[in-house]
Amino acid sequence: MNKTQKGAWLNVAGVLLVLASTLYITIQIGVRHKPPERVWLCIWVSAFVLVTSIGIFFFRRKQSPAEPESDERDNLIKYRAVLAAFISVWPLFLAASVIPKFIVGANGSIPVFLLPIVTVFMFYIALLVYSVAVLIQYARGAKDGA
Amino acid sequence: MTEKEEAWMGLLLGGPILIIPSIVAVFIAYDRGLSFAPLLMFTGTVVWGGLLWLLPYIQRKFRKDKKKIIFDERAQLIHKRVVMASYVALWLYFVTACVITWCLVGPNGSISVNVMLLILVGGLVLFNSIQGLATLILYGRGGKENE
Repeated sequence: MNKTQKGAWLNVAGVLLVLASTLYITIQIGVRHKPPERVWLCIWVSAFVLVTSIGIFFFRRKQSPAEPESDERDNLIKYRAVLAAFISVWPLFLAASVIPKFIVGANGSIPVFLLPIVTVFMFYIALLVYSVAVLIQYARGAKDGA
Repeated sequence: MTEKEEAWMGLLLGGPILIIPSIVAVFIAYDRGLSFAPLLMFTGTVVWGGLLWLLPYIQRKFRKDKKKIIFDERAQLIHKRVVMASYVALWLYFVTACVITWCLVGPNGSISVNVMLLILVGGLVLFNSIQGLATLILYGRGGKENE
């Protein structure tokens, strides 16, 4: 597994953790009207620290001393993954604009603090798309090469 | 039609072609309530405007006369750079639009749901305008270097 793949796995783990914890906190505060439980907060924080430590350890460790930082194939894969992430931005923005209209009605309004939250969420989803696209391309490449 | 002419056409006509149907859809939804027709009109315009840049690749894939080169390596490279620049500009636009709206209305304020749709239409126009502008700039540069 090279550096790009390790980075992609680290991204997938980190983004899934962020999305899951944000969803939990939103449901807890927004729907149940209760503060988040301490046990879950401790579990999330420990998971973040664990994922980051493991990620940094494996990210810094090379397969061999001769392993290059990245080659042409890596760059092409990264470029395609970035494009996939950018393409996913359109449906995400479309959903973010249209879904509130269904929830609050055509003439309704939404609290403005939701806008930065939506933007950050979309960034994380685009990051997830990027990482998954990287992993899929490497998996395909491995099959083609085999 | 050359790439430059296409870029000029996109720059001049791209905005109105995308703005008119999407604004009409938003207005219909605001006036008569949300229904399938304005939603389809809006979604169609956004998807069409957002993914129009894929057209040369689709055209190349389904072309019958494969020997004739209409999208060479230089054109592909320029197209890739243009698309990347447009997406970066789009992302920055959305972040800026969200932050500016937040600052203008205040942290405890609220905005109409139609503002989100109008921000998206603005993004669509910006995306296509940047594409046209970047294509003109890159072909302009390339032309000077080659001459």
